[in-house]
Amino acid sequence: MKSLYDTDILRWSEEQAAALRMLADAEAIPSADWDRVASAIEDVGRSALVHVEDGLRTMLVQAIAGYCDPDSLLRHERNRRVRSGQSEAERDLSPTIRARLDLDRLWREAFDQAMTEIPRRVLGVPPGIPRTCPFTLDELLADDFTYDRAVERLYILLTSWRPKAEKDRER
Amino acid sequence: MDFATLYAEDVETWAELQVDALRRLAATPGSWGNIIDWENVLEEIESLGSEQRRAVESLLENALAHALKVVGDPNSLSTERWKKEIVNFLRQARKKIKPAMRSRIDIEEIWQDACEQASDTLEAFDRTLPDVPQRCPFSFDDLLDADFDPLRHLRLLTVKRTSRQ
Repeated sequence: MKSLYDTDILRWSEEQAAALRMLADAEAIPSADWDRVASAIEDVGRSALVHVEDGLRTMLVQAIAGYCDPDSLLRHERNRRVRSGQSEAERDLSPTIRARLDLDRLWREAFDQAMTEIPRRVLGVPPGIPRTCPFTLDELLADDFTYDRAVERLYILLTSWRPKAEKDRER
Repeated sequence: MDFATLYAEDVETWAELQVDALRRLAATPGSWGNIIDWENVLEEIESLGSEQRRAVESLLENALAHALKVVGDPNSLSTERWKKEIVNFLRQARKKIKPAMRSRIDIEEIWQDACEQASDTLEAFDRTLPDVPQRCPFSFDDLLDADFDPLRHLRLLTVKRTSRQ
């Protein structure tokens, strides 16, 4: 039987940590630092989640920076970062992590980070950057998701994006 | 020493004690036997115990390997980068090392690995490892001294050995 450890590390670590904490309360248990052992096991899952988030955030930062600064000489470097972010995210992805991801939060964090990365000469941020992530997780993880693709997709998505109220008025 | 102090100062001994208790528990029949994934829990706690020491060992190995490469191939375009990294690796190692690691770190093994690593790189460019002793010429304390300059020591050492021949 394949262990949850291999298929769903976050769930595994949370279940094991809970079991270890319960066990610590049982009688006739050898003395040990059970609470810290449980926390250490919990950290295994948590750090997998953090890796996936870091990878995805890196990808989004590059896409936003590329959208704001399309003529950047960093294109190759950004392409490389998108790839390495994607493999980092894929490596630790598992069902519970997938369910726990908050892409909109990552998107907003990525926006803040991108603003610190784009050069000063890029005056003003293009309008229409939404507060919610315009990419789905599956899009981000697709094999053909590259930096150029990401910027292009953003361009198409965001230049045709208008507040909902405006669209309603036209109808 | 209580567990909190042990965890902070000697996580490897801490982990050994926990692994020991976990193993005893695993061997005891009880209802938790089916709930706890003993094998993977044990493995995680073991690796938690050794990961800090391993990080220090690999920093020391890389610092020494770089020093050997600089001495073995002083005209390489990479020497400036290697020199910077030596300083950086040693600084990081000093930051991460704890007194409790001392008895667990095998300087000879680090030296062997550094020689192998350096010789692989040097040979790829038709250079050879400088004539250095089999046994590590540095002590644990040398490596952690903030003024320690492995390059100067290695150069002196190779000059001495060559002139003796």
